[in-house]
Amino acid sequence: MPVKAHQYLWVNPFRREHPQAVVHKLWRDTALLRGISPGDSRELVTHTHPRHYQPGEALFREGETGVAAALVVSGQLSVQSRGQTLVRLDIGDFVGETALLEDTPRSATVVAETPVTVSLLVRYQLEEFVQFRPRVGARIMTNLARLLAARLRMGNQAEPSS
Amino acid sequence: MTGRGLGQLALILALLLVVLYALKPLWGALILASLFYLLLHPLVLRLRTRGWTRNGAILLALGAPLLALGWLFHYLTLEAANYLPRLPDDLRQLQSGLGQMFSELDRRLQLLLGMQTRLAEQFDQLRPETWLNTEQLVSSSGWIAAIAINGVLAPVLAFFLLRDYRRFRDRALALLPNPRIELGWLLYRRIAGRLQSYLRGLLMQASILATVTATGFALAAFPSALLLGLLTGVAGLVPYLGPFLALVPPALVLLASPAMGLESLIEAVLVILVGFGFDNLVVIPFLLAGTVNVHPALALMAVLAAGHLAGIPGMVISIPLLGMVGIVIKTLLEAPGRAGQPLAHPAGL
Repeated sequence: MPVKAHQYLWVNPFRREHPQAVVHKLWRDTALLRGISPGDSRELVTHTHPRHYQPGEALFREGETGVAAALVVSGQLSVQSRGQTLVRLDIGDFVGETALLEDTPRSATVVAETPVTVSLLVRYQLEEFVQFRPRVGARIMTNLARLLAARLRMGNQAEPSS
Repeated sequence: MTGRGLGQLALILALLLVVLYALKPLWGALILASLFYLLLHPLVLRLRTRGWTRNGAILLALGAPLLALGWLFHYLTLEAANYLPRLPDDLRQLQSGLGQMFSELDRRLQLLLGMQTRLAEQFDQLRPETWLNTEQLVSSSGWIAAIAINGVLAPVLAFFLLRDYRRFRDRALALLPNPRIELGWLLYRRIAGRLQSYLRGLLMQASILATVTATGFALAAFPSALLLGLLTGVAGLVPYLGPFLALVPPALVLLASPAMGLESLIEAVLVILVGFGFDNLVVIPFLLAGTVNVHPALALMAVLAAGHLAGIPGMVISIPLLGMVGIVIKTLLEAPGRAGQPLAHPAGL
């Protein structure tokens, strides 16, 4: 029996997964929360904000000071700069993490392509969360540093060819 | 920010003012609870870092100040009970002392400048002994009930503020529309950070000033030294004019007590000078320096205007309010991409 079919035998088709659990699962799958215990990540997710956007509505605008990162829960977003679409973001993608470090102006605009739901994590709430969880804070900051380093590396590799 | 955005902001501020006005009888409890929050929040966080539960940390942090407040209430009640029967005599004595002082001033002005000011005559017409009816004051239970209600409510509100303030704040900020959510958080953070550090520093400053001057008054054998120290601490909250306001209570005590002479007046001035000298040279540079970046001339004008509009409470809040308005204007006018920092890496946003 294929694995997927076997799994469906054990799933209650009448149970709807709690939206918060879905958001938690998506956050846990991000590079930001890698290595964080389920209890801590669930607690952190209670501090995030669900926000809904209509197609064409901007999530972040280029040049505006950013204070939050966003995780796509449903729908599709596009990252645009100088009139060009740089990349499209789908469910589970994570964007705007630089704002989790400092009040930096956004370098690109993020626009909803379809009706979109995101889970917004505000830097100040993350700071308050890690205030009395120093180990979790150190892990999240390490993850964030790795994420930014990886992006920088990718940017550097892409630059010579462009 | 667009005109519509400014309109929304004005509407929210107007609603807040209406709610605050409706809660006027509870202002005492609200102010006291906010002070508890400002002072105790860092302690609660520290206790939680050491593994205490949220409620346990709050109760432990609230315990000591509540005991101190209870003792202070007991002390003030005893002082008031002892003093109220003597109040009419003291008021008469105060009136005669002030009358003599104005007569002396009239005589000297006549001698030196040839002016006929008749200050003593005008002061007599004011009939200050009728200003305060002590019998009514004692028999009226309204103000006692108001103090009791505020006194009981304050710690309860402080507990809930310490426990749930951030939850309320998160819910309130979540009400902001999508284009304003980040701006709202940015404004909140900038204002709250600056305001909290300023008010916390101010409270510490007032406590230190009250302690130093109460000790001084006790050493100089003034009656009700602790009360005088407390009043000096409160006067110290008023920027620039604090030292002058602080001189009023000891001066009134001196005028009401004929046994205390010029020596006591010099001692009172010395105590205030030492208190405010220590405050300006040691306390302020360490606690308040740089917390509110407002030009002194603008600050002085704001203090005087606020005093005219809302008395001493207005004077106390004028500087942080001015700093807050400054932050709001600066943040709203901050053009996109001109925050003085380079743009983030495109990939990192």
